[in-house]
Amino acid sequence: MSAVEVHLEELLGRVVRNAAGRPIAVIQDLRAHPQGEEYLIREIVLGELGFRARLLRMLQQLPTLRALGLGRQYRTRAIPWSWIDLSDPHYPRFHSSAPAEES
Amino acid sequence: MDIGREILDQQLVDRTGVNIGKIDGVVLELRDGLPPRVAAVLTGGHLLARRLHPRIEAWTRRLTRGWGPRSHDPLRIPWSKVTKIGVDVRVDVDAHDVLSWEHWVRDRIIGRIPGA
Amino acid sequence: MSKLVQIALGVFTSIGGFLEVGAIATTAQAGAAYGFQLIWAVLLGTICVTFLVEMSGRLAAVSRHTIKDALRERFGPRIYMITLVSDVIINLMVLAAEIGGMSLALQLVTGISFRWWAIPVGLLTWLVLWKGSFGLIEKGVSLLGMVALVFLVAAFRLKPSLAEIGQGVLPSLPTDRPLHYWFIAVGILGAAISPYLFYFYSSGAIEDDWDESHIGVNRAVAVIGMGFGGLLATSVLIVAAMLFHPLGIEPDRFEQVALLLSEPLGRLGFYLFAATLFICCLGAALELALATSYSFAQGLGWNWGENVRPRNASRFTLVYTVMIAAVSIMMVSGINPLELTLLSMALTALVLPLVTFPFLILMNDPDYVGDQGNGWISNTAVIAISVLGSLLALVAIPLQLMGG
Repeated sequence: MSAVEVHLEELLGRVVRNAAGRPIAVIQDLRAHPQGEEYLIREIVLGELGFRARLLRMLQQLPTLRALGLGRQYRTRAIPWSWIDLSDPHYPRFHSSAPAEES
Repeated sequence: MDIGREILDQQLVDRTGVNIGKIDGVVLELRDGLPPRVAAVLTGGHLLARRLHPRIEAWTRRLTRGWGPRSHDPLRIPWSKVTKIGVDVRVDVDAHDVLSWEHWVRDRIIGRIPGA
Repeated sequence: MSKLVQIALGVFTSIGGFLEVGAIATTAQAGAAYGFQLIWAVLLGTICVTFLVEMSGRLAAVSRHTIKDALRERFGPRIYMITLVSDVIINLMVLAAEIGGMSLALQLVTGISFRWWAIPVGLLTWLVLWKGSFGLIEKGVSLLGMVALVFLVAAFRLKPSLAEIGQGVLPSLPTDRPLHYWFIAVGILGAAISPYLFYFYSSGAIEDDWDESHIGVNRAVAVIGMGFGGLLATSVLIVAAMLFHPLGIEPDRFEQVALLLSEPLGRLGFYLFAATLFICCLGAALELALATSYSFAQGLGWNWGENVRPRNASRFTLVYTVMIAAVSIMMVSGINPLELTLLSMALTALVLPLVTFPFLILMNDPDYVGDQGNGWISNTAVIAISVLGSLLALVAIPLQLMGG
């Protein structure tokens, strides 16, 4: 069993591509669950691609601007850890065994 | 627990309540066929600079070459040492064993001024 | 801790945060050039900063984080670094102006040029931080700062027309030299809504060990403290409006601003002006130096605190030491403190949205403020005034630099 170490902070914000190389989503966060003494990553939280989506998300966090109709809810989804290959933190990609993920 | 939100950039505190630093990095161990595990937290070194921009890291390395404590590597604290996660992250470590830059500034500069 | 003592934090923050060389300079210029017309700017600034100060205290009490601490945790190192860089640049400029203000106060009293006073004054400021505890400094400056009430006394003595003051409370367009009018308005907003003021206050709340039970007190302290500052700043404006405006005098040096008190109060007034200027600038210098140290330490995770011995918070101490030393040496060169002040106030107004927007997001995030989040009034008031201040500054600064 081989063990590779990667850094969380190098993964956050990275674009995840599918097996064909097409950008699909952005790594928003990694969700860990305790198991005994350990914390294991069970899910990977993905967010929308694109600068505009992030800007609108930022505006949406201010209640006044939200009330004015600016910004819109940023969509995230949590997918199982096994669907993404994280071994190269600069180029995370969906495993070919993952179900076809088109955003 | 979303580790980016709840662990990264949080304040790291030693067993007596003294600040050690901010968590600048989290080490994940990827294993074949098993979910990744949270292995350690990192603080200091040039991690923060690298997160801002690789060029900024190169610049801070050059700036601090030749002075400061002997090692400019980040401090690595195994996840097993984490005792409590709340307002800050408490670890079972003694700050005085690990605060290299703080002690360097104290010994070389601040400690030399009368009344420190 | 008795309520009275807690109010000390608010008053301290206000003397030095609010009423300092920037506020004195901008309100004196405003009164001299435009009479009572710009009172609305002081009022708007006071309202906005009261909201911001109350918010900083509430954030600290509920989340046990200071603003800078929470900024890094919530938004990450990049946003934190951007605010840090902007802070440091502006704080350096304003600190230079405050050291200049103290030096000028000494020049007024002794006749010796302010350039000679820059280093002794810097040394004094540093010594107070090196040796003093937070509580001691807080109460000391609040008490000494009461000398600023002399402006209120002078304003009363001159018997200004309440009707005219009332008119000044409503915003009005300038009839003469509009560019200068808006530049001064922007300066007043920047002097009142200084980020170092509420960063300092949030750190002070942690130094004074506030928790959720302090929320009510915090509200009172913010209102009393900032209200006090606003009242004093308005008094300066009124005195300038009554003494300088009818004669068409526009002070471009602090020696002239001193006349504001020597007219109604004679020789005593002159000395009281110098004392007020010195103490307010000292308060500001202490807050600026501490606020900068806090900004570094809280975002980078260092041990920090004015109540901590220097050797136990070495990097924290190093920041204010280097800052004061650099600025004092700079002021020996004789830069005009008044002009430096006006420019740094205007720059402060320009970057207001950068400072307030992330802060507002924190104040509406239940992870940080639980169920004590902002109401729509605080949110809207702060957003509106920040955007207004910034737009005005965006227009006024370049035009002033080109035309002035």
